Amino acid sequence: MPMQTSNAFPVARSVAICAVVMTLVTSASAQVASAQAYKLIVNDANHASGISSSEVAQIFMKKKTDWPSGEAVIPVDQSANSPSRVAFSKDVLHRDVMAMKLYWQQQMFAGRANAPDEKASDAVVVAYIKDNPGAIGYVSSAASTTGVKVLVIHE
Amino acid sequence: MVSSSLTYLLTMMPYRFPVLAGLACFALPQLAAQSSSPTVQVHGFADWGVGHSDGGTFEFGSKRGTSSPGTFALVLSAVPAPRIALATQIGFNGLGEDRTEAKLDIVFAQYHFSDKFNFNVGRVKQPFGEYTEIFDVGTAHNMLGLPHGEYDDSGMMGEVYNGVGFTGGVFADSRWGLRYDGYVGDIALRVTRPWADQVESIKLLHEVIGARTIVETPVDGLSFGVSIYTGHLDDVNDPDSRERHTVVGAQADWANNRFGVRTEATRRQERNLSESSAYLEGTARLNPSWQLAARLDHSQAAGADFNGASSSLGQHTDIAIGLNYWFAPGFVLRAEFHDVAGNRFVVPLRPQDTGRRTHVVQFGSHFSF
Repeated sequence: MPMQTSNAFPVARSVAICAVVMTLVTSASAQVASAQAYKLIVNDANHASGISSSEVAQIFMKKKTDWPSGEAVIPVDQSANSPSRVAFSKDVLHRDVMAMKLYWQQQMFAGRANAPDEKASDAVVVAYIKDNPGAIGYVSSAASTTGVKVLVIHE
Repeated sequence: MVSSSLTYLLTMMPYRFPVLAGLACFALPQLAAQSSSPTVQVHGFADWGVGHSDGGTFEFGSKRGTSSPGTFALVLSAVPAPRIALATQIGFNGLGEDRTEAKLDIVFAQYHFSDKFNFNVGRVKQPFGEYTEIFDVGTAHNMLGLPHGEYDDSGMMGEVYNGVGFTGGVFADSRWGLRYDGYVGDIALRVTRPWADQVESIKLLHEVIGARTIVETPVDGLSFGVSIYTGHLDDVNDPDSRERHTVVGAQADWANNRFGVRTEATRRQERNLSESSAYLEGTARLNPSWQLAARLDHSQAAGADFNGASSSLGQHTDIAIGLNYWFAPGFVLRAEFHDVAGNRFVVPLRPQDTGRRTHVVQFGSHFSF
């Protein structure tokens, strides 16, 4: 018996057109960085002095999981309602905290990666980074960063 | 001796899955406890829904009204040693008033060589398209059910592969990125025929080879991807049969904090069956809690299964709109209306009702932690 010809691919063509339109529309959206309300910090033994914004995003989305030395990167977040986290998410990850929570649901339930640990305060983040050579985190711009290194974020 | 005991344990029915689930629950914390930096994470997800239709049965809706018995899955992951990760997921499906079926959804180990190459072995979620890896994770979906053409029990997709695979990615400072997966093994495909009183069968697919590639663009949240897998269908009546089952798909996804657009087109080919499916989903957040969602889902199948049958049995077109209320990223209430043409995924009320449009109103919830 000859196969019938499917006619679902007019829909597929519509999908392709939608994809092109999505590209054009979204290309027009520009990201505007706000004044930094946070400082990016690493362990004092970390050799880096600066890091690009996109590399920080890769680290905090666990797409980049090793430092150039080969040591595992351990990103730490602050709690969801922390002003530092809200600003960091918007500036560096280009998503709000809820969108990042949904991103981590997908990653975690797909068996790909777990969300970074959430620390309760600036002081807890600084203490954790002092104790873990591969750790990286952010604290409010007013927080004391004695004993850890502040990294400059460049575009 | 150990081997024969293990074989007995793994094959004794009907307790195989609960036993494996119990072992997984016990073993992961033990392994992690032996690690110098124990990391065990426990997560889970569940759903429940109720619906009413003016005709056939579709998703949660039936003529008499239907409430789902609910589903729940527990996910455990551990890092017992540097570069090694273990994960398991145990699903519990309600079968009625007082019966629950436990099922080992996934159990796998991963070795992290680098960001470019991670090696997986075991029973791993099949990387294909947008949703196979988050099949039942409702809080990661846009509506109560997934698009039916690709993700219903039509034999288009598996949920997991049994075998080995790799996953990785390369990401440039320019924000371009490439993610990729590859795998070989076996896949079990669930096939339900709505017109045959929802009789479910399992098609086993052997010698499967599959891959997925996703390109991330510098535009935040915009990505494109292609997927393919192919294998040989098991035929109990003809052990020498080499009938090939091949599925190819393309996807595009864009999301920012307020809006999201997702689309996929998929084509399946077997000796006596071909099926093409595509969907377009959109979401818009009105504020942090309220979200609108809409979907156009179309599928058409042709082949031996549909010879002599009503043309509606191979067709499906679903136009759906929904309103979501998010209490938190892990808890959402959803209300939806579906206008469905075709009986590819709708069980007709009576045989003579085949071909009638079906309208469904349904309400449900997804939660995860």
